[in-house]
Order: sequence, then C-alpha cells, then structure tokens
Amino acid sequence: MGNVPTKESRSRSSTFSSNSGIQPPSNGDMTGFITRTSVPRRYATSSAMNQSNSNNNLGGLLSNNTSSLLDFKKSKRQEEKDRIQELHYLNLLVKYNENVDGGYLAPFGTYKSNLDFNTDIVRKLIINRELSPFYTPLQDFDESWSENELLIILNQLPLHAIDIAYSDLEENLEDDIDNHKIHKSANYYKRQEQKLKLKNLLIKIKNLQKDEELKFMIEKEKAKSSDNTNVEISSNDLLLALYQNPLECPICFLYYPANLNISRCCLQPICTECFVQIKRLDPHPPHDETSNNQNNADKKFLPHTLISEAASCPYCASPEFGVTYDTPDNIFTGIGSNVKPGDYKIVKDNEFDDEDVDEEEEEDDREEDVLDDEEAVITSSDSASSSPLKSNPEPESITKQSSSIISITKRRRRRSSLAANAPGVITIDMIRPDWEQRLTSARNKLERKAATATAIHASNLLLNGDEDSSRSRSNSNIMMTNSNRNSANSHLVQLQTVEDRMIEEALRLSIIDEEERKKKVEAEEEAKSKK
Amino acid sequence: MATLPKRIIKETERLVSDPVPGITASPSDDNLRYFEVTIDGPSLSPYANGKFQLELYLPDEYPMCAPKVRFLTKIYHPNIDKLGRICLDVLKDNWSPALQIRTILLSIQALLGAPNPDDPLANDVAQEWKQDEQKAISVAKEWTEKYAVSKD
Amino acid sequence: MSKVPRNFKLLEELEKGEKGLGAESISYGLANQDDITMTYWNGTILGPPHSNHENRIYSLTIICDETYPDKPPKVRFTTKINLPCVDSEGHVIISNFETLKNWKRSYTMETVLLELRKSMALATNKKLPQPVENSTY
Repeated sequence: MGNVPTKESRSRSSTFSSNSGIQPPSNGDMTGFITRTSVPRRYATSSAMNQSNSNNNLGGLLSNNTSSLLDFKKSKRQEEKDRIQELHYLNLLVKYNENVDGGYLAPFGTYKSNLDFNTDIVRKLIINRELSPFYTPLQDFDESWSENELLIILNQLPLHAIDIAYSDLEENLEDDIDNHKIHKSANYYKRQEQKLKLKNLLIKIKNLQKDEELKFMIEKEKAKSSDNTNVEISSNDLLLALYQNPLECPICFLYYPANLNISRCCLQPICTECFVQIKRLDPHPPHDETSNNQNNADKKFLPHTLISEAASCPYCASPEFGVTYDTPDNIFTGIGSNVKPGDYKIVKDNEFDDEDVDEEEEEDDREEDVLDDEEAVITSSDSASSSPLKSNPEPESITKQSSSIISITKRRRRRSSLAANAPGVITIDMIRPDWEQRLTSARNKLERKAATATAIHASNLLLNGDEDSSRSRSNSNIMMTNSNRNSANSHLVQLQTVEDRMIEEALRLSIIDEEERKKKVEAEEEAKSKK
Repeated sequence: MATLPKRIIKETERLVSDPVPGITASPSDDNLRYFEVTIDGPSLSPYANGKFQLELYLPDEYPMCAPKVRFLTKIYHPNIDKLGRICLDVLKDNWSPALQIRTILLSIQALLGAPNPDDPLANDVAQEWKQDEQKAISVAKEWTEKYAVSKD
Repeated sequence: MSKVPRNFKLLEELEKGEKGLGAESISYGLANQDDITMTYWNGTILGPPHSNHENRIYSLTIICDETYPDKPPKVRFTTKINLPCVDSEGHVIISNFETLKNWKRSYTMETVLLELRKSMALATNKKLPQPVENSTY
C-alpha cells in the first residue's frame, strides 16, 4: 500500500493461456474448411450483443447513433473472435478419417495447455509432409513383443487422450480474485463470460471427440467381423510398418513411429506434439532480474525494451529452433495420396517403386536444394484433398476445385545441420506467426499502464495539497509546459496542467488503440483478399 | 488425482533404477509430483560432507516449464536465499524440456561447487562473498557443519 | 489440476505479495524474513471507504501451519476492531466467517484479507462503533 489510492478496478491479464492468441485462419488455402457448413454458429449471449442485434436494421444503422454503431462493431468483432476460437478447437479434434501416413492432423492430447499454435498451418504442413503427422503414441514398448501382441495393443489405441486432456473441465473455473473484492472490475463480467464460453466450447469439443472415438471403434469392430474393412482406417500392415521399431521421443518419453521430426541444428528427434508445444517466452523485459530483488518495483523499464526471443533448441540450445521431416520409406497413404490407409500392404522396395513411383523429374524449387542424389518423386494421380475436415468421407465431392498435386520427395536422411531459413526447415515461429503482434500489444499495454501510473502519481502529488520545495521541483516539467500562463495561483495552474496532460495522454492512448485496430483490420482484409 | 504423465512415471522409475551418485529423489506418497531430495555437497567445496535436504515439485505444465526446487536445509551460498530459493538460469528462462529432474539436481549440485556471486539472489551473502571470499567460505563451512551434517 | 504442495503454494503467495501484484487494498508478507517454514505472516487491510473503517489501517497476524492450505490459516487482528466475526482478543472466529468456514484449497491469504475487508463494508457492519484508531489487543 503506497501512495496510490485504492482502486478496485485493476485489470488482470487473462489466465487462460489456451484462450489467448488464437489466430484467424491464415488464408484461403483451406477453403473447404472455412466455408464448411457443418460448423454451427454460436451467438454470444451478452446483453450488448442482443441489443445491437435488435438494432441491426437499416434504420438503426443509418441513424446517427454512433455509440450503438460502435457497440455493433464491437459485438461483430467479438462474434468473429468467438468463431475463430471455435474453428481453432474444432481443428484440434482427432478424426480417424484424416489420416496421413498412418498419423493424424491433430495432437493426441498429451498436453492440456499451450495449444495456441496455428492449427491451419500445422495441418497444411502435415498434409504436405513437411512435418511428421500427429501419431498416436505408445505408452510402452518392448522389443520382445510378437507382431500379434503389438497389433493387439495398436488396435486398442484411442484417437485421443480425452480423459487426460479434458480432466480440468470438471473442476470449477479458476477462482477469480474479484469475487472477493468489494467492487468488481469492469473487466470482470466480460472475463467470466469468456471463461464460460470457453468452458462450454470445450465441453462440446470433448463430446465431439467422444463421438469420433465411438465411430472409430464401431468401424474397427465391423472390420473385425467381416472382410469389409474401412479403407480410411490404417491397415494392420501399415500399423506394423510404422510401429515395429518405434523411437522414444526424448521429451514426452512416448514411443512413436521412427519418422519423427529432426532438429535442424543437432539432428535430435522430436515428435510433433512436443514440437508444437515449444514457443517463445512471453514478452518480458531484457535481463529479467531475480524474483526478490528489492529494487525491482522501483525500476522502470521502458515499454519498447520488452523482448521476446525465438525459442532455442531444447537439446543443444542453438537459437531459432526448427526441424525438418523425412517421410518414411515406402509409406505414402491417406490425405494427399491415392493409397488409402486401409489398403496399405507391406511391399518390398523394388516392387513399390515399379508400381507407384513416377520417375518423371518435377520442377520443384522448394525441395531442389536439399535433394540428395537418391531422389524419387511420387506424384499422386488423384487430386489431393486440401479440405480434410469435410463431413463426408469422399474427398472428390468437395475438392474438385483444388487440384493441387502434392509431390513427395524422399531424400536420404540428413546428416548435417541446416540454417533456420534453409528450405524445408519448419521453425517454431512459422506455426505461431502471431508472436510479433503479441509483442507489439504487450508493449502498448505496458505503455498505457505506465502512462496511467504517471498520471495518477502526478495528480496525487497535487491533490495532497501541501507544497514543499522538493515536490514542486519534481513537478517542474509539468510547470514548464504551461509557463506562459502567468497565473497568480500556481496551484490552480498545476491542476489545470495535470488535467491537460491527462487529456493529452488519453488522446495519445486512443490513437494507439485506433492504430492497433486498423492494423488488425488491414491484416484481416489482406487475408480475405488472398482467398 | 489426475493421471500422471508417462514422462513423470518413467523419470521416477529411472531415478530409482539408475540413481545419481550423491543425489536422492523420492516422490511423496500422497503426491507423486512432489519429491523429497537430498544432495551431497561436492567434495572440493565448502559444502563437503554436508547432506542438504531439498524439495521439488513438478507443476502441471512440466516438462514445458521447469520444476520448482527449494533448499530445506539452511545454506550459506550467494545464489541461495534465506528461504532456500535458488537462483539458477535453468530453473528459469533457460529451462529446456529436454532437461530432467536428474539433470536439474546435477546442476544444483554443480552450483554448490561453483558459487556465482555476480548473479546473486541472497544479496547480503553475495556482498560478503565478494568482499572477503576466504571469510565467506569459512562461514559456508560453519553452516554446513551446523545444519547439514547429521550428528549421530 | 494437481495439488500444489504447501511450501510451493506459500512461495507463490509470498512472491505475489513481495512484488505487489495483488490487490492494492491489502498487503501481506512473512513476519520473519528467514522463516524457512513460512508459518508466521503479517497482513494489513486498508479500511474500506464510506464506512467507520475509512482511512484506518488494520494489522493482522496469519498462521499457516502444516495443514495449510488443506485447512484454513489462523487469523488474528492485532489492531482493535469491532466486527461480528472477530472475538474480544482479535481472533477471527471460523464459524462466523464464511471464507474460513467453507475453506477451499484454492483460497489464499489474499482471499482472506479481501473477504475480511468486504465484511467491514457490509451494510450491517460498516457503521458499527469502532475502538480508538490504532489501539491494539
């Protein structure tokens, strides 16, 4: 408790890490996904929303009622945010028919938090075979297991660790300290509403995942009882090819097919689920001092000095962590391929080459640089599905328009390190491209906070009345700005100046706000125009 | 209690099956994320012959964030404060998910062998350490004798 | 969510108190800076405005024994106060104070102090006659 007056309405940063920083769909590459009609629109239930919705007629908009127009824009923006959040979580559903080389497009659920990576980008990278798919991990592995034993275990694996991943849902929402205050802050109700919305969304996602799990089980049972297997489900041959010699990911200690991602710098393996967890630290002042350094509170660092460094390699600490991915030999099934995961049969190397490999050299400048001599280009004859989230399993129905042909380049295992910007290297910034935007907004937030503190401090000094010399000295800069006003009552002058300053400050901050908003709108426009 | 991640189970098993010399860590019965730890003072340091008690907790986000570790035995060290809190980069910003309980405890043991008064947590100890290293070392020895050596 | 053990929960609370990250109307810290057991704490509450407590500063002691945070801390005013949940020696009566009575593990010392402040501002309490300012038990 210092000289700052009691202020109950201090805003607290959101504690929901999973909620923040979800990005709009990157661009129109996933058109099928965005326009897909099976996404139920959820409308926000806030009273503000209802109000503006009822005003949502031409007359209401044309009337010069700017405040309701603002409300309307605000609620539109909120609606858009909610929609993006919903799409993000829908993208985190593991679907059995979104199979890429025996893996999936969404994580198994080993981690509950940090799921704010850009799901559209990651899905695309997996479909393009630039990142290892999200494989279902084996909790244990024993080399002495027979093929049959291994298959029994593999066939019992669920799509997703529902019980672990959503275990916190049943618990109460985190206690909000405002519940214990005399007055709740202005943000409190919005915060509660957002939390509740997120909780309801997660419950919905959990149920969708359960449905998916059930479908998966039923299809597997059907396959057992008849010969009519579902071609969308990995064949036993595919499972064996993948899991017979698994690797333990050095971070989660789970077993995965050996085609893990490889760190660009020190060639260490990392599963995709761990890779998407690694991100920049939140924006922080440089040289973060130790926690109980007494000067810390007084030390004012400048907002623009906030930094956020690219994450280092967890293994060798090289800056700018990135990975490359080598597709498994002889496995090319599921999305982007003309071989269904259920049709996969283990074949010998040379047979495989004769059947499926088109030896025609492709002009593929993206991959050319890293190609080794032993290059083989597989070109899928079907048009590749770029909209994996379709509700019906036939890819042809939606994807006729996008006839992008995915070519897969198999190369010899890499043995040397690569630069962060080398072709084929996927860095952690590529899957969370919003880091720069976050840094800017953290700086602006801090700037606003500092300005408010200064203003309160200045007004306090004056309102406290008695003017000793030291105080007027500390205020001299304020006096100077208004020195031409030769008022006899210096106290009044000071008060007026402070008021002016606060108004100036408010203006400046609203300009910053407006600029931020404009930038966002521009970014959105850009994204739209790319479509 | 929620299911324990495989990584924590495996780390715990490996700590038992392949213990680190001079370090013990055993999970508590009612909370498998909470470990009782002992670290032997390095032989060529003022902490030699001392057996230091620590506690370690693996937060929900582990291994994506560092374990929390604290000394329970009083220790005179420029990077360890009165409450046993440790100033060590790998416990903060330089944490990497490839590190483990084992490696973290080894780092702490190494910190005992190589105090770093230029990056202090316990300000007064660091000050004394810089002003008169010989004296500081003898105080560290005294404290080790007094608090960390078991008297049978 | 896993259970944060007592000591690490108290360290978190201490850090929040030291850095002044919590509410401004209350404060708390260790009574003794080298109490490695983190048992004895001091707290202060700034009397809420528009009440007989306005501008008063109340000091308290808080004891977090081995059972904390599974059990509530023991809280006592050292500054004299007239409140229904405080006995004649300054002890906060558990049965009269909802926060301690229905204690939750997620509660903190900050919660307790804020709730006490809230009870000072209750319509039924805010005009209660108060002892001379700054008198102690």
